[in-house]
Amino acid sequence: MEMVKERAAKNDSMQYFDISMLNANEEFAKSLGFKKIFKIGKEISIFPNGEKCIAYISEKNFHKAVKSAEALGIVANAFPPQKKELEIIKEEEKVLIFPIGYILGMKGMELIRAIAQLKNAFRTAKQMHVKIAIATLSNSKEQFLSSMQLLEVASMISGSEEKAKEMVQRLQVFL
Amino acid sequence: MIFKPKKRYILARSSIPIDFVRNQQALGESLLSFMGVKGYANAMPKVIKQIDSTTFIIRTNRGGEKDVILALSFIKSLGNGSGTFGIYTLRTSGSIAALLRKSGIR
Repeated sequence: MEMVKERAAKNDSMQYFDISMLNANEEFAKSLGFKKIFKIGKEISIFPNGEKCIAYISEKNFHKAVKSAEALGIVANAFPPQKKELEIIKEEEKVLIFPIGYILGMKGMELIRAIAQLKNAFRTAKQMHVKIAIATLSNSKEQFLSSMQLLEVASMISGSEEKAKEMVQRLQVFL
Repeated sequence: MIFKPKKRYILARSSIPIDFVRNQQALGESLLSFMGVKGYANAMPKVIKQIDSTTFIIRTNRGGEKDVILALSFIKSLGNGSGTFGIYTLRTSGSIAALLRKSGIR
């Protein structure tokens, strides 16, 4: 009985999140195993247009965004992220979000190169003790993933199931 | 004594209606290209049941299910004119009955 309770408590703590460009209702999010799929433009905005924002590392306003209280996450859309940028992200305690939606349509060597880039970026960020999250940032229905799939992709990038779980749960800062 | 290898069953759903039992070979080839010969031979994935127009069950050898789940994330077309789609893996279980029961299908 205790084991069942422990397992239930463990399952309750498994709160996985994703970010999408598309609207994903609660039922759809639950069917994919997520507590919530945040929509960009609704629950999350792009800096400087709201209270809970994300900013892109490649944008000109990156330095302004990372210092602001509104930008909770920084999307690593330029590879490899520079050490200087990672240092600022770490200092300001922002979450570095790895987008993976764009690699889902790739094949062959193109996919292998993209995975290698993500792995390298993850390793550098981990060495610098940056808080890392993973999200699909899907812009089409085909780019959605279930929580199980997102965990497997995160495991592949991080090389550890524990880290993968942390990465998929970390987006709860946007709640 | 010879032991029968244990199986895992994956409940999956596609974003558009596709009969994966009929397109078994095309899906198998796509999985093979992502998993490689060793991974595929280890998992031996097979679509065993089409529940409705989008939902289906894949059977794999135990230990190979994670590779199949990962490979399914990257499959966006079958290359036979079926269009682009996404496959979402919803649940895994050790028996079909438990899989359907847990997912509320039966």
